[in-house]
Parts: sequence; structure tokens; C-alpha cells
Amino acid sequence: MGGVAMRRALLLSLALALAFDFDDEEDVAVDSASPAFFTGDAMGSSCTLEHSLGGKDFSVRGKLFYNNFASVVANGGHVNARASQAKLSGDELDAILALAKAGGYYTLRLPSKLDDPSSPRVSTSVSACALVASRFQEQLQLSMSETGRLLALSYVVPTVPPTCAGAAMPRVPLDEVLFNTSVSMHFPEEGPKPVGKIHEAAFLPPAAAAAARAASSADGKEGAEEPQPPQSFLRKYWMYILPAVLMLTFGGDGGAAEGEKGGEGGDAAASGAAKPAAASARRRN
Amino acid sequence: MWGAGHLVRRFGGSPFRRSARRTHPQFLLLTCTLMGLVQRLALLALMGLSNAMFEDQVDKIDWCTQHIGKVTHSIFHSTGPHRLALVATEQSVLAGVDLRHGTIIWRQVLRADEKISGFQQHGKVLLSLGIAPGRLFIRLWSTQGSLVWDAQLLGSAEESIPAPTAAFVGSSIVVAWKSTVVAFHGTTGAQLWALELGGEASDVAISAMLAPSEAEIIVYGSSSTAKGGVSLFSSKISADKGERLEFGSLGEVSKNLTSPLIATSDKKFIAGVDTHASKLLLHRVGTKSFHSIPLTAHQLGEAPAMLSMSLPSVVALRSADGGSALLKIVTGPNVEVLKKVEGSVPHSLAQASTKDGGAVLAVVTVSGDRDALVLETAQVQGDGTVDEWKGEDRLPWSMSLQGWAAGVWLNSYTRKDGTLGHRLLVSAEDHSLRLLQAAKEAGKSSWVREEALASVQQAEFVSLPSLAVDGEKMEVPSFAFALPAVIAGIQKRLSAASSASTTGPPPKYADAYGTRQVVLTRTGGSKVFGLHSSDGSVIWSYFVPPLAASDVPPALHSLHVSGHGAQPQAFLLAQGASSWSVLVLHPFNGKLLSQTITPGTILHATRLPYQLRNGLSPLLIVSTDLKVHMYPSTSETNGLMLEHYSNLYFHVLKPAEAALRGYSIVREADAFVAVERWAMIFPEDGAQVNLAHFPFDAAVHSPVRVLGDRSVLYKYVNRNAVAVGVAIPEQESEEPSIQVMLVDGASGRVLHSVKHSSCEGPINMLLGENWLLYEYWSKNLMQHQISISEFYTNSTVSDDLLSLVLSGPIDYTQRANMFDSFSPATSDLYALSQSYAFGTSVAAMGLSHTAMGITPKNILVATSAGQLAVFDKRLLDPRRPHVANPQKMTQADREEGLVPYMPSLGGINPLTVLSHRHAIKQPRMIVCAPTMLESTSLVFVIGLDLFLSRVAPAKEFDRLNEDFNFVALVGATVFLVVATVGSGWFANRKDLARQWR
Repeated sequence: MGGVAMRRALLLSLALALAFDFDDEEDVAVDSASPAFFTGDAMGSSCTLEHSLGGKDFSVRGKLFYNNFASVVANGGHVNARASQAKLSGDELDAILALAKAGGYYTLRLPSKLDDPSSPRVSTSVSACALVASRFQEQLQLSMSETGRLLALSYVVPTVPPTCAGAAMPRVPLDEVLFNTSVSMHFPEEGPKPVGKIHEAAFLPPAAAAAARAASSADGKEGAEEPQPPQSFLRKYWMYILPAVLMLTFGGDGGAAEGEKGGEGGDAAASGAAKPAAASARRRN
Repeated sequence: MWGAGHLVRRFGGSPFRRSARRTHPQFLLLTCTLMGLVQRLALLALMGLSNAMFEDQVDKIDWCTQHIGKVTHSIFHSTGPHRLALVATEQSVLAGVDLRHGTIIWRQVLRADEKISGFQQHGKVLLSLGIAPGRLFIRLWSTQGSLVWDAQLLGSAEESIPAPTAAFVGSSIVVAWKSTVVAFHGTTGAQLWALELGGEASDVAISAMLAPSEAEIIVYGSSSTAKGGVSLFSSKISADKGERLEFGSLGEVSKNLTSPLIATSDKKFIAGVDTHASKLLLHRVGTKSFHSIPLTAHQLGEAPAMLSMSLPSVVALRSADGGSALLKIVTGPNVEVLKKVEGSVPHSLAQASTKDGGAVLAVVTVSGDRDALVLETAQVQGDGTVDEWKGEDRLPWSMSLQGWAAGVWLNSYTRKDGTLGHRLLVSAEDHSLRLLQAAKEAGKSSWVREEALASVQQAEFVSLPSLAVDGEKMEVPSFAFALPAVIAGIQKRLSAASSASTTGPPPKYADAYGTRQVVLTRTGGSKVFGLHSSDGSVIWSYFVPPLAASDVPPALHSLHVSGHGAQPQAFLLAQGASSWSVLVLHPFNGKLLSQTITPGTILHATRLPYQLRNGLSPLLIVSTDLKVHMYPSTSETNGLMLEHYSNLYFHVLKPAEAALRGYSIVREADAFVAVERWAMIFPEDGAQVNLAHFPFDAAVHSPVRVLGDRSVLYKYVNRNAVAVGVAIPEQESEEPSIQVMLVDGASGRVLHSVKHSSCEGPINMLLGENWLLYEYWSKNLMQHQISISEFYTNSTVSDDLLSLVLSGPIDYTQRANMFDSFSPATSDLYALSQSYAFGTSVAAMGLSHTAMGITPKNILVATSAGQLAVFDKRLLDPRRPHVANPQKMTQADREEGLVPYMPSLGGINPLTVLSHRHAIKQPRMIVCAPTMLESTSLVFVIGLDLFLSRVAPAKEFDRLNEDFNFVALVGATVFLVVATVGSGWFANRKDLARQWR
């Protein structure tokens, strides 16, 4: 127990020391990729987010606050953005609940140039019943081009019932619902490049490339390795063939033949070693 | 113009097979794990890159047909025994066509974006003027088709009106384009001088040029006046130094000239039309003004325009309603009508020059029964006097089979009896080129070239019916009498083998391997062809006539083949000016089975993946007013639609709006309508967007990739995925870049996005089951690059053997277990990527496509030079290990069959070039189709030329070679049986003898 207390004290003092260090530091404006709190000031620009119930008449849902981080735009990756808190109440709430029952859908749209409200709209939609089933929790992903234009919107809700008809919908207890929105802007990352140095002869057909490589290596350093002339089968595999031949030559076969002779009697000079072999040959027969 | 669309479904069943027999993916996983080693052994056995084909297969399993395209210009030329038609076509081809047989003697294919606007012959040379974006190409050819020299003039990118003009002046060639006059040396092509007339006035556009003598040239054109009007001018230029000798205004016209100025062939007059004021502008060469002659008195119809015919003191006009008139210039100057043809009668005018400076005029009209062309001719003397109109020769023609004769060129010749004979080279509305010969008794057609095949837009493969279906009697062999049936079978094979050796058309029934198929091709010439896959011969063709009486032939929107086995049908969608039509054709003989016409414009059409009771799949057609139409429109299709409409999504690329829009289908007041669900907007400033889809009927064999260490990667297989490539061109302040995305076609979600800075399009993309391959140009590195991205997903399915065996099967009929494009898990993927440098530019890419998808894949690359190269997919694998020495690869990587990474894919190995000696010109698309053999797929390259061959990525493992030695096999088997029996008998005998000892 004492050890734990000591460790806690140590950690606390370390934390205090760190806090002390940071407190001492001058405030620097940091481009945080994901600020913990959003304010209108922290997010540099904003645009209007529009929505439609059923895809017909679009109305303003709120604002989208975003900041183009130069490093992210250049290198790719994603930054978070913020949507102003949106809510549905009254007729709109009734309409979306009706849509959820009827299998309708809910659409969002943004201008393709976020700073130009008159630019063509990029839109996305989700089934109204999925939105209700997800308790209005939503995730909006803005796919951007390298030049900072909005190309596409991806709309993800966490719960998607397989069918809307007959799906058990969560009850909406209040007369208004709040959207729980998370927004991120995705800038494309740089794609892979060929890795390594490309040889000058790399674009020649294989045979020509090999010849060119051989020629360049011969030019580059004297006494470069000569290509090996093809070797004969025996010369290549003599180390495997020799033991096999030796085994065949000096193996048990010769003894068996001698044993046969011994078995047939008559040869008194048969060696003692041949006798068991002859006996086993008889057993085999 | 609407781009290609694609139908997707929100829910898909098991995405791994397309056969009716459902196989459990977990079972597949198990088998895949077990089969991994076997596959790797097979791969190692085939370690060498697959060769394209063997020498003895050349021209037996492949064919290549050459085309020239729709003819726009033609000149007749004879040298020695050769009678040629020198032609220029819409597809930027110059060719010499043999007039006797219609064969191509020579052919030169120019850049695809070069539109030939001028084509002249002078002695033994041929001059072509081609307008490409921002430049004019001047090329001089010999009449044998070899290039003598070429030159180019730079200009602004917009379309040039009026077209460039050229004249042979002495030993030089003078070309006038916009406000510039340039002279080139006739032999070397060196630029002799250039004169800019833009300084004389603003908006100078030279429209006509005349060379009265070798010393001077006169150019005529229009320019803007200070008051905002348009003035006509002439400028005399010295031919040797290009000095401006004179520049003078000839009078004002109401608005810019929309039709060119024409010089008469006797070099006496320059004629033009002030279309807005309906006046003929006539200028006598040498005078200082234009005469305006009102045309209203001659009742030539609305808004007449000049026809580019150069005749002695005769001009030709065409009015907006299609009517034509030939006007003779008489003193005054004034004109009198020589011949007038009403616009209601289809007609064409043609001319041929005679040796004495005169010309033969021809008017071609259609006969009353619309079954023949009627040719009327008149001779125009060099001094402008016109003889009487002669003859009404009938030439064979069918308006219903080939449409109207859109281009007619007259070749007049003197017969042995001294009379004048006529031949007509005719380019029809179906793009076919044919020679018609007028004869005293009856005209005849000499030959036909089906040039619509140069503009194939879509190809579908249908297996030919087997013999039994064709109605031929085929006895069913009985087991009780097997021997006669076996003998009959052998006899049949023998006769088939003997008949195969004889040359002749290939049989029109299926073979055992399914390589004999009908290739249905939809072309830009309102014509559909059924080609035989064995030799490319045309089995049938069908020309779609205009949907309304006064229309042009409709554009063919799409072609869908429905039904399997013996009763398939081809649904052809044609889009006319104000209505669209569904034509049902028999795919094996091209007969029209039925046709319906509906007013409106098609936005999207597709074949639904559901079957009716008769085995056919209905068509879903969405018009631009977003109404959904079904074909056939029956209660059964309506019921099918009611069941499935909520799962149907499609998307349409709209290049004009720089948008990709996704739609779903809803039900409103007992009707189905499409509603927009998502929209992607691309940069409008010249961004090129193209899409790639994975064929929805292609089989995916395995949901996993087995690695060398027996672990698996789960493939991200999304049947709704669409690859979107956006190439943003270089801007003033910004480098070019490309961006490639993987988008879910149902939900519109971007699943993967990657950019390549300082790289340029066009992007060639190929989407496989879980990978995307694309080719582009790296501006910084000055090389073509190919990138591959493979998509995998994380899975919670345990992949150890015991869990796989013990876990119960997943019920894929339940929707909760199906793939859902809207599920949050759909976006859960990760990509492995690699890039390689490539040695040549790519025009099209394709993927081998086999019946069950088990065979490893081959990537087919058609290069811009016209080669079709085969690449093993293993070369384009993002898991290729980065090792300095191939010997240092890990054992697992080696077992997996990975190839060590190299930054370059190398040059094209000649052994992998499937097209061998053929150069497939202007390749645009590669279509692959499966055969009955799992190992083999058919590869069809579509471009100006057509090329079809077979590809077997893992060699023909399921088939014995045609030259397989059956005698040796049977002999060896018999020998072994005899040897076994004989040696057994001998051994027994020996043993017995030994026992008796």
C-alpha cells in the first residue's frame, strides 16, 4: 500500500511540475487539429448547412464552422469542423417521424465552394428511420479536393435498421429533438510514389534491360563478374549423384547375390558375413 | 450528354459468387485456407510470367479487323492498275481504298483529336489539313500513303470558323488559317514565308483563296469594321515572298458569314451567302466589289448556305429545310436556277472534274419506293455552259437497311464505247461505305465496308445456341446400346475434325468450351452488329431507322442481353430527337421481335438483376423527368418492382454539370419515380472525370486473401463501389493534380480518396473485386505511373480452423446479414498501395473474367501504340516486399508467391503481347467475357480496329491441348496394363517353380 501511495505522490509531483512548466510558458496560438471546445472565433469561416425532409424543399438548418489548416490541405488528413446545434420540433419533428414510418429520407446539402453560397450544391441523404433509430446522432464527412473545394458529403448514422417497415423505433419523449453532430473535413492524402531509383534501362523489355545492365556494369567496373557458362548436369549435381552411386555400388545388393550363391551350397569359401543375408533371402522366399 | 450510369443495390446477398448454388463464405474461408498451399504450389509451378500465346495459335484463336471510320472526304485516284479512293474520315484516318474490292491498300491513323477539315490532291501528292485543339496540322502525303512532310500552325483553342484553305501555287503550298497566310516548300515542307493580315483590320478571318497565276495569290475573308459591322475584303499577296500587294474592302454584310466563301473552278467568281439577309454575294475576280443578289425571288427556302462545291460558273446552295439548288452565274451578274430539289426528298449532290476543265454534276435522290437511288447527271463545260440532265439510273439501295446516303462522291469515266460511265462512292447514315456502279441495264453494288464497327461503344457476349436447340436432330444415346452411340460420337468427332481443317465460315453453334459466342456491338452509326467471336465475321446487323419521319437516325443509348440458354433477347435502347424506343432483337439472327416508342429522353437504363417467369430480366428505364419505366410493362414486372424498388439505386455522371448524381426510387401515386439522393460536384474548370465499375456479373471467388504465414486478410468487397478519377489540369498558379476516389454508389459515401500532386490525366482506371488500379502521367518525373490500391477490412469472424468448423452457418437470406451500403461498417476499410513507373502510355485497361472467378487474374493493358499486353496481377500487388535482394525474401512471402518490389514495371515484354503483329489503332476499351472453361476468358479490344483473343492466366489447366498425343496416352495405358498383367503372371509362375524346387 505504501508503494502505491508513494507512486501516486510521485505522479502528482510530476504532474504539478509539468503544470508549473506550462503555466510559465507564454501563450502561443496553436493550430490544434481537434480543439476541445468550439467557438465561432476559433473556427475561421462558416457556411450555411441546409436540410430537407423528403428531398424537396430545402431550409436552413444551421451553420457549419470550419477552418482550412494549410498543413492538412497540403499533406492530406482530416480536421474536425463544427455544426451549430440543430433541433427539430413541432411540424418538422412530426414530419420526420412520418417519413421514418413511410421509408422516406433526410437530406443535407452544402455549397461546393464553401465560401460561395451560390455554387452548385453537394448533397447527401440518409434514411429517416435510420436517423430516428440512431437517436439523431450523426457523423458528417466532407471530402475535399486539394484546392479546398467540397467534392462529396458522406453521411453516417450509427444504427441502420435492415428495413424501415415494421422496425422498432425509439420513442421520442419530448416535443423537440437535438442533433448530436460530428463533422470532419477530409483532405486527400498524397498517393504512393515509386520507391527507389529507376535504372535507365528499366523501361526496356526484360531481355534488353538485362543486356543493358550487364553492359553498364561491365563499363562501370573492370573485372566485373563474367556470366557463368552453363554447366553440365553431372558437374552441377555430382555431390548428390556420387553418394548414390557409391551406395549402389557398395550397398547390400552384392552381398545378397553372394548369399544366393552360398545358399545353393557348394562354396565353402563363402564369408561368414554372407550367411545371415542368405538366410534372410530364404525367409523372403 | 448523359454519362454512363450504373445500377446498384443497397443490399446484396453473399457477394462472393454469382452462381445459383449458394456457398457458405465461412466454408469458403476454410477451403481457402486449406487450398492456399495448393494454390501457391500451382503458382510457383507457373512462376514464369504467363506467355501471351504459342506460335501455332496465332490467327487461330484471335482475329483483328481494320477499319477507317465514317468517310467525310474522298478523292478518286488511279495509278497504273490501281483504282483507289483516297479517303479521310471522322475518326482522323487517311486511307487508300481499292475501288475493285473495297480493301484497304494503305491507312494512316492520325491523332484522335485531329479533325480533318481539308483534303486535296495535286498530282502525286495529297494534302491534309487537320484541326486539333489549338493547332492546325498541315500534312503532305504521297498517293501511296507515305508522309512527305508535316507542319503545324499554332492558334487559339476554339473551333476554327471558317475552315482553313490551301492552294498549290507553283512549287509551294500556301495555307490560310484565320488571319495568317503561310507558304511551305512543296518538297521539303520548309516554311517559306508567313503573312499576318490581322494588322489590317480586326477579327480577320480568311475564308477563300485563289491563285490566278504562280506569281500571286488572292485571299478573301471577312473582318470587323469600326462601326461594329462586318466587311468583306480581298488581299493580293505575292507568291514568292509573301508581300502584301493590295488590301481592299469589297463591301459590308449584315452579320458574320456562317458559310464559307467559294471560288468557282474557272477562277472567275468568288461566291458567298449572307444567310441572314438571304442574299448571294458574288464577286468577279479582278473587280473591287461584291454584288448582292437577293435569293427570295428564286424561292430557295430559309437561311440558305453555300455548299462546298467548286464548279465552273455554277454555285450550289442548301437551305435550312434541306432543299438544294444549283445556280448558274450569268452576266449581270445574276443567277438562274439550274436545278432545285425540295428538302422533303432525301438527296445529295456530287461532282466530278473532267480533263477539259469542266465538271460532271450529279443529283442523287431516292426512288419513290425508297428501294433505290436515282442518279441524274449533267455535264458542265469549262466555260460554264450546262448540258442537258441525263438518265435516271437506278442504283441498289435500301433506306431501311442503311439509311440515307449522307456522303456521295462521283467518279465519272469514259467507257470503251465513248459514253460516260458513273460510279458512286457512298457513305451511308449507318457509316457503311459502298461502291455503286451505274450500268445500262441495272446498277449494282460492288462492295460494302461496315465502318460503323470503327465506332463501337458497347459489346455484349452471348453464347451461341447448341446444335440441339437449333433444331438439328440429335439422338439421345442409350446405355443399353452404348456401343453404337460411342461409334457415332467418334465418327462425329472425326468428321468435325476433318471439316475444321477446311477453310470456311465458322459454325454458328456452340462448341464444348463456350468460345464460340456472338459479340453484340452497339455502334455510333445507329447500327447493331452480331459478330462471330471465332473470326469477327458479321453474322447479322440491324440499322435503327429514324424514330420519326423527319428525324436523323437515333443515337443508341445502351444494349442489354437478357435471359440465358436458348432464349436470350437483346434489348436495344435508341434515343431520338424527342422520343426513345426499346427494340427487342433476336441475338442470333438480328430479327426485330418488337419495338415500342415512348416520348422523352433517357436518363438511365439498366437491366434489373431479377428474373421474370419466362427467364428474362426486365429493363428499368428512367427518363430525364425522373419517371421510371419498366420493360416489359406488365403486372408481373410491376410486382417485381414493388418488391424490390426500395433497394434500387443508380448514379449518372453529368459532364455538362461536372456532377455525379445518385438516385433512388420511390413510389408516388401508384407510379415509380427516381429521386436524387446525393450529388458530387467536381471543379468545372476543365476537370476530366471518369468512372470505373466492377462488372456486376463478375464472380468473386474468395472473401479473403491467404498470406504466406497462413493468416488471412479480409477483402473489402463492395459491389456498389465506383471508382471516380478527377484530373485537374494545370492552372495559371497551380500545378496539375489528380484525385482518385472510391465511392459507394448507393449511399454516395467517399470510402477512399487519394491525390497525386503534379500528375496529369487522362486517368485510366480499372476496378477489381477489392482493388483499384490506375494509370496517369507524372509531370515532374516525366513518366507514366501505375498505382494499385487494395482494400481490406477488419473482421470479427475468427479464422482459426476449429471456430470455423464449430460456428454455425450464417443465414445470408436474412437482411441483417447482407451487405448494406448505409451501414457504418461499410466505411470501415483500409488500403494497401504501391506505385510503379510504366514504360508506355496506356489507352485502356481490362481484367480477365472467368466463369467462377477461381483462376488468377490477368490485367490487360492496351497501349496507345496499339499493343495489347498481358500483366500478371502479382506484378501489381501492393504487398510486393521491398527487399534489395530477392534471395532475402522471407519464406512466408516466398510461399505466398510475392514478387520483390521494383520501382518500374519494366518495358513491355514481347512475349506478353497478345496482339503480336497487329497494331490495334486508337484502342478505347477492353471487354472480357467468360467461357465454359474456368481457365479461359475472351478478350475483346475495341478501338478503331477490333481485336479478339483468348487469355488463360493460369495456362489451360482444365483442358488438354489440341495437339495432345492421345495415341501415346492410350498406348502407354495399354502397355502398362499388359505389362502389369504379364509381369504378375510371370512372377507367379516363377514363384511356383521355386516352390517346387
